[in-house]
Amino acid sequence: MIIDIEQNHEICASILKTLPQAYFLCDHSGMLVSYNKKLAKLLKGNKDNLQNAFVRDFSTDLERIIAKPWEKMLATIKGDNWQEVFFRAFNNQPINLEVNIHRMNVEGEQRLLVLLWDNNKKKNADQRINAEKKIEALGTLSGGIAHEYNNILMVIGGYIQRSLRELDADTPLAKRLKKASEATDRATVLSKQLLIFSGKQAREHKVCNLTKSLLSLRGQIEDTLPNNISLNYQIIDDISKSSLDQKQFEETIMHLVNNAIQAMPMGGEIVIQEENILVEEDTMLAVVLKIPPGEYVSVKVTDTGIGIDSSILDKIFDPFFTTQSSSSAGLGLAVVYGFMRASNGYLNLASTLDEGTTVQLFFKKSSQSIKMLDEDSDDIPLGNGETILVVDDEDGVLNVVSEDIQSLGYEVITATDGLDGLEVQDDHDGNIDLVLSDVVMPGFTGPEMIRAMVKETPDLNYMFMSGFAPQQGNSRTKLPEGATLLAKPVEFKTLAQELKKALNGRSAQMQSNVEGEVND
Amino acid sequence: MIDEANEIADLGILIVEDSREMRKILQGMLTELGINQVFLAKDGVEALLFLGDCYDMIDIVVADWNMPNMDGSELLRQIRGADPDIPFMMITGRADKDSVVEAKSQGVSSYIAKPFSIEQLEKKLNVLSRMLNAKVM
Repeated sequence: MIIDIEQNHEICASILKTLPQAYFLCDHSGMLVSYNKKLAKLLKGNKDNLQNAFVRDFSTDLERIIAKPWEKMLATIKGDNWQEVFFRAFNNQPINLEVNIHRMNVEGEQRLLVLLWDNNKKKNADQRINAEKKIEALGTLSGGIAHEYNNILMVIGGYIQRSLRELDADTPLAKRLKKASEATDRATVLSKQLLIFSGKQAREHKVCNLTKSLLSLRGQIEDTLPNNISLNYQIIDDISKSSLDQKQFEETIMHLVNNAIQAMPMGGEIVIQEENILVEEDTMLAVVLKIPPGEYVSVKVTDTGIGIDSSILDKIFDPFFTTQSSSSAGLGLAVVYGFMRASNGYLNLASTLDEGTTVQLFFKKSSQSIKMLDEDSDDIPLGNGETILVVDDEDGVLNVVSEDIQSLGYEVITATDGLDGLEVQDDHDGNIDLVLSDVVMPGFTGPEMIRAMVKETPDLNYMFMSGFAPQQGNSRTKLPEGATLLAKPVEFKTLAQELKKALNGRSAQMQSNVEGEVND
Repeated sequence: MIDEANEIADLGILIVEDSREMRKILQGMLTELGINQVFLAKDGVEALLFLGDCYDMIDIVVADWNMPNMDGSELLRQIRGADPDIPFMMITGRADKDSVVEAKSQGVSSYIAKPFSIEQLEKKLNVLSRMLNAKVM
């Protein structure tokens, strides 16, 4: 069946209603003779505002277009392109809309049909996508540069170091080379920053309590503050845990603090504020990204400084962009951005000229469940901040077991295989109170690693965990005599009790050693 | 610089590195660390030929990851086919986590990121040497 639309008003009305755009029809005087609800909505008004309204009431730009001699103007209207026109909404807010103008013959009268479309959301989204793409491309480029650069630095630094070792330190040549060596060190730092920005730097993600990190940073921050800047530290006790590289997090905070100091030459206040945040729906951030719904741990660094001009807001994450005259500014906020990307986190920035700047970091709340411990429970003995090294080549196991041990009140350090275990033991500054290791690992087994560790630290306390029963006859996985073996998956309660037992045994043993020495 | 009980001095090390300058620097560093059994190969092909003849002299293979002819990854694959256990240290200019995890899954024992100092190299070799001593063969 073919419907004659022109004669069917009902269908026409229905089509107008379903049009995704706002529209209005006006006569030669610019008076609105017909419009839809969407127009009122778009112009933030109601039907009353549009009653007997003229085009000039909400757009002088459009008025100018239609104010030309009517017939002449009609002749130029083709209706084949959208153009951007400035409007003033009924709440007085300025708004740019795209319009498409057609002429129409309505009951013998020439009218203008104007379709209006709000393209701003899409444009903003496009801008964000472009900014993201730009940073992505810059990241790839900088990662590639850092790679080549490291090869060259290796040669420069290698020869300088070697020459320095062969020279008497007091000779003028040695002094000059020392300066060259210091410059190489700076270049190495810069190269590392490029890698952080590229989001490709090796990093160690661990479930962290940011309150702890921020508390331990406080002293360092206070040391860097000039006298005319005060620090307002707002941290909370029940912050959720988050998975990130703690060292890079601390460097990021120091970076932001340094930026804040530079933004306040006349003094002021730095506020560092930590919060648990629930984002309920996709939220656009001021810069680059939108943040998806979820639970986040947020850290805000706010200063009362000079602020950032809105005209440069879209450049501040570019590597080497700086407003400071000093040439050693390095990668600036680009590094912070790279770190947030590598941490699967988000970053927001708000700034008002002469009032100050807030940089807000969002880290996803760790989804790994943190066990709630009943304080009255005698069955689950808690730790006392002792350091435990957990070694397992399976990422999943390593994370879960580390989480469990952490929630029991121990400090946890991790290693991803036997060799890594030895490196971590070497690098760790403090005491390792206990090593909990997997048994079967490729290349270098748990028992072999423990043997190497015990050689250096004869009184090392250790324990094994395994999903397999020890294989008879396989000497590489044979446990040292008397060693405790926990069966995987390790039950939480068992883990707590065995850790406590091992650590108590150790302190009891140390106690008896001390007594023995006294008795001797 | 050199340990009193220098465990690494007795190691036999094969360096596989395409850059002549890097080979020289590495050789210099190893000599300074008191290691005298240092052998040089300019790519994977040469390294395999050498290992075919003098396998017993080598305790650790130290290889650049990006090389022409045969890269570190292919060299490692061929070496692992014959010896799943010989320590293999990867030298890389780009130690990002993904490539380290990937390299480890292929059988790399240890890695060192360029640029590195002689102290860092010594530390890595010490750990490998401790591993060799603790291994039950």
